[in-house]
Amino acid sequence: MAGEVDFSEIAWELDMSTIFISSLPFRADEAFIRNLFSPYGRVVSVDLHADWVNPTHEPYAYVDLETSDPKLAVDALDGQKFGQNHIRVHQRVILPTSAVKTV
Amino acid sequence: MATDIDQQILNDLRQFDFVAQNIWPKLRGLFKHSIAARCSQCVISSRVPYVTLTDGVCNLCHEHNKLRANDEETLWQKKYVEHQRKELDQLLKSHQGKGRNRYDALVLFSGGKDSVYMLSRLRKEYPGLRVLLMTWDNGFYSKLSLDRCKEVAAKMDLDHIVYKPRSSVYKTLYCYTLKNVEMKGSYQTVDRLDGTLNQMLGFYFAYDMNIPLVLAGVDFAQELIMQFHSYYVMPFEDMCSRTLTDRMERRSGFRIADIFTDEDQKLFWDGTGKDPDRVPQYVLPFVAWRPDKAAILGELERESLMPERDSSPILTNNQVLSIMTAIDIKTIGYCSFEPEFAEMIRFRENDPVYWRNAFEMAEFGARNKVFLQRTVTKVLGKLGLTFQEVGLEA
Repeated sequence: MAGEVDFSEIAWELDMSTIFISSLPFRADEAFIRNLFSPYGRVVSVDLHADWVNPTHEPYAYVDLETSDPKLAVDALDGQKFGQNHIRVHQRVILPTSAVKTV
Repeated sequence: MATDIDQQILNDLRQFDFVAQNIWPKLRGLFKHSIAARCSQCVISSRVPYVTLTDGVCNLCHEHNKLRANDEETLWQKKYVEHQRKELDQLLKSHQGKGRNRYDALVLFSGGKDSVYMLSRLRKEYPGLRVLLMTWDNGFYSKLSLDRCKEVAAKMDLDHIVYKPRSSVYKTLYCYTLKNVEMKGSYQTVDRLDGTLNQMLGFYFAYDMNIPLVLAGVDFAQELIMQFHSYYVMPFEDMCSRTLTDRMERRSGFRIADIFTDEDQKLFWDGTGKDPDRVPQYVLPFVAWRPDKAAILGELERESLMPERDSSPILTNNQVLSIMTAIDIKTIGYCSFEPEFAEMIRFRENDPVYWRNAFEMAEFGARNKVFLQRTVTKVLGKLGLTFQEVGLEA
């Protein structure tokens, strides 16, 4: 139909180098996350969003990992239990922006 | 007739439940050497590989008790849950009457006590939320639950659909997974695929009907179904990708491409390429509400929504559970559902004596081919499977 967008035609981007991690154990810090990922490649940066005193959102982090196969880290770490939580790990998904929808 | 078999299975399970709670407690002392020792707090079997008992208490309960004594973490958890409650409240309030079409929320409604409690609370606290109830009837769910769903929907005067997927989908799922449980246990394999597919059928339905929220009465301790402990809403990235199906495949060790036809594989949610404005948010209110067992039973009693005798998960759950339990006891020595129930006892104060009796009798019954065997025979018959095909002895 005219004006409608076929989203199946729009490339969903999987960011190959950035990994999303959440359900973090209490007090998880940058060092914890670096240690976790270092066996799977060089950790370029960790962007941690967590307030371990007064929580205002779910704690999560983005990890830039230099590796030929980020899936190895995802497969190995997703679901591992630390403290009370099973951590959630997957490659960052970048959704199409609203600008795309105006096609 | 199929319905007669379903009634017979329900009768068998009622007998099992009655014996487990009334007769087994008097007999269990006689058989204590032929069944596993259990934690005196959470009743988990000592046969679970990562469990060790010290003074009758398991290492998981020792850790849990330590956590409770840790003021800093406990305080943070308390604040975090409060924060989640406020956010959830805002989310549900903001959706009242705001759905793009006729409904604001699709409630995945199993007829178990958790989903009935959730619905009751939603009706009271968010009366403007236009909900559609969705129940699956895949031919293997408890007749009691299906009847309960219809009764509650009628009593609350809510729109309700009973979705019957074509029978080949679930038969294929159960037959393949039951034959391939191996040492992973049925919880990680059969139940993971079954539970995940149920949710995903709801996602597709909400997407097609343009319903912005999907709500499920999944307990926060049910890691398998939720795939995480700490969020009351599924991260939107997960909903807009194949992450949930990928995770199910990774943790079960199965690939849906090995089991299903191309057409049936499309039933497993893949948000890639879908309109993000229509992709529903998946909301799990129990994560933020965290009601204990007494709160749930109190609500059900006040509202006369479910007689306590019918609220046992043994009666309201999937019939295939009987085969899963028998396979688990034979292959890994314990029922693979025990860690989840132990967690619910630890966190939600579920009744440990009830579950100790149920798990002990299931173990005893499976080892000695009594109590469970009749149900297993009937459910295998419905699936067209033999005992040998799933690694059991007739």
